[in-house]
Amino acid sequence: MASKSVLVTNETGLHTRPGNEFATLAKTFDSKIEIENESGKRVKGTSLLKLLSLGIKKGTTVTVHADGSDADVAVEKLTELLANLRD
Amino acid sequence: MRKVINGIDASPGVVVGKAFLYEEIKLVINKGKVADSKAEEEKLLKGRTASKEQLLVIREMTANKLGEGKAAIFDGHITMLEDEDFFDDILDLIQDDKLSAEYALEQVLDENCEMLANLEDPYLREREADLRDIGRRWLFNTTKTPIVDLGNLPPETVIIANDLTPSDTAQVDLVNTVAFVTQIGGKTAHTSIMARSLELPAVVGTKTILSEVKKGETMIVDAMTGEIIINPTVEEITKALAKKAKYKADKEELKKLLHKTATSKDGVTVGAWANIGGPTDVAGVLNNGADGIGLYRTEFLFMNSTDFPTEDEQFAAYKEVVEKMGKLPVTIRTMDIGGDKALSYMDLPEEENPFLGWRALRVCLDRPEILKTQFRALLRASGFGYVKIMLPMIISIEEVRKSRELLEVCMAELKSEGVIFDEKVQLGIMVETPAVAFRAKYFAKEVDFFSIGTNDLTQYTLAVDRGNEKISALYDSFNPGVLAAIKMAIEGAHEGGISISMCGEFAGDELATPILFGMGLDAFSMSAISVLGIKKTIINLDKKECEALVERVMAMSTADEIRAEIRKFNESL
Repeated sequence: MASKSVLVTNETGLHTRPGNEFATLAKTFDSKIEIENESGKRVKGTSLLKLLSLGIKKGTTVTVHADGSDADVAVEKLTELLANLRD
Repeated sequence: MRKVINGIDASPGVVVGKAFLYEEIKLVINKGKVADSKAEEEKLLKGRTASKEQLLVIREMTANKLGEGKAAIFDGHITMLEDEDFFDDILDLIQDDKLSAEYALEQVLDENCEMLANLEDPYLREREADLRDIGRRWLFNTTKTPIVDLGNLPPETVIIANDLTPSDTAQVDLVNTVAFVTQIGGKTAHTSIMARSLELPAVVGTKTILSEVKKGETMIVDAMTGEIIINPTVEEITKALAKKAKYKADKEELKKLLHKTATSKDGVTVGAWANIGGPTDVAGVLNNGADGIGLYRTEFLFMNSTDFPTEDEQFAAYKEVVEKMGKLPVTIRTMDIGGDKALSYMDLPEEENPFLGWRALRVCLDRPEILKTQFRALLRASGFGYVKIMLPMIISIEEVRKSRELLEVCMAELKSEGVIFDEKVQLGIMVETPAVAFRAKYFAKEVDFFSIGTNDLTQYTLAVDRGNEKISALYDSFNPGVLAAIKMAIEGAHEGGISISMCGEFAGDELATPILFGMGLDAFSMSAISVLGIKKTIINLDKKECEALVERVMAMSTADEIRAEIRKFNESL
């Protein structure tokens, strides 16, 4: 079990294309991936629709949780992706 | 039967074509219980596979037509289509509640669309349309309802639809489609934006056209006026074809001026600038060869919002425009709210004379925090290009000084925060009240530039409410009193050593160009689509001749005499 928080800094936040990148990367891990927004809403990280439902925009902090054999790597890679989102 | 229908001209052009009605066949959804869940699951899966295959084809077509960037949108669509959670939710309804595949799909789709529609972020909220689009395709494929193919159309087709979605326009057969006509939407609807970027004529907002026209009927779509004629007469067709040919020839001719400056025969160059309402208009500015932005109306940022836009939100919009314009000037006007423009989240009192009331800079100086936020955002954007800040509705020097003080406070703050901005950023004012026109040279000593707002200057000089239809005939910028005010403003600006542009409707009125040029206007700012026309007019003028024309018209007594004199002048060119 691993978690890490990261600040989203790109202008349009976690919209369709970056959301798609996140969900696609999340699917490559064996661990169960979840993502949580500032108000504590927590959803499956492999579902683009669920990701969009968090309404993550610029300047908000999100937390990535992973549970499984590759939890540490998963959290590292996924937060890295979030920190480097482009528009 | 011949019929005339009017709509909104959303993308210019004139065509004669044959009607193609893009109407969906009604979906039949079985809302009863279905015992064989396995068969429903199978239906659902087959529907999804078919939808994915179609989306992949659309993706390829988009990549070929509009490039890889636009095509990547459909990768996101495919991911949404294949969303596991979405699929599992549908499956639950099929298995537990014994719903049909399509009914279960519809339920989950509605639920998710509603979720997206309720998001705070406007960008994410708009993704609802994408999901609807994807879900609808899946529903059609699940129930094996044919989807109308827009990719294979007969020649000279006018596509008529209630509305066109992104996946509709992406698959349109561009070889054979000559125009779009829709029932709903305005100039900024998806259909309109796509039509303009594809340079296809479009008329939107026709309300009832689907029930007025039959497949294959001949129709004229005049997207210059928004008029559509179904089953036109032979003479009307001949006339429309002539108009089409002329439009095409004019457009080709004007395109040659794209990279030319607006320089008269005797070598006097003026700015040919465009007016915009936000970042999405910049492409049109550049495509029409404008060499600057003379008016960026920031109020849309305030009007399309549920609260005052934050400094960061404003900064993002301004920066985008400034960066896209490169080294070209971007004149940004501070919030011009009040008058006929209300804000839902701001308690603007009902006034007897709103145009003479608490509006624009008057609001900002009473509520300096609004202006301060905007100034900071503007200054930050000035670090990324060429920003000019413009204040609306000025009547006194005190207003200018108060605003400048506030601007200087913002500059000092940003400096201490280590933010980079243009320390010599220009501060200018709109000339839209007689008070400023009368005393132009005194104002010119206090500011860096002027821009004449002819819509308000006409209204305030003539005491004619421009929204009042009963007196609309009185509203006339050629009224000698208005022309005198314009002339005074230009002379005052030059006496004070500053430049002056015009950003009202009058700047794009080709009949006015010779006198405005003769008076010494330094730049014309108008709708992007008028820019090339004004460039062409200026190129054919001679400054000395225009000055003589100004002298003649200013000695005349009526607007009609003045117009007649300018027409005579134009004919002699």
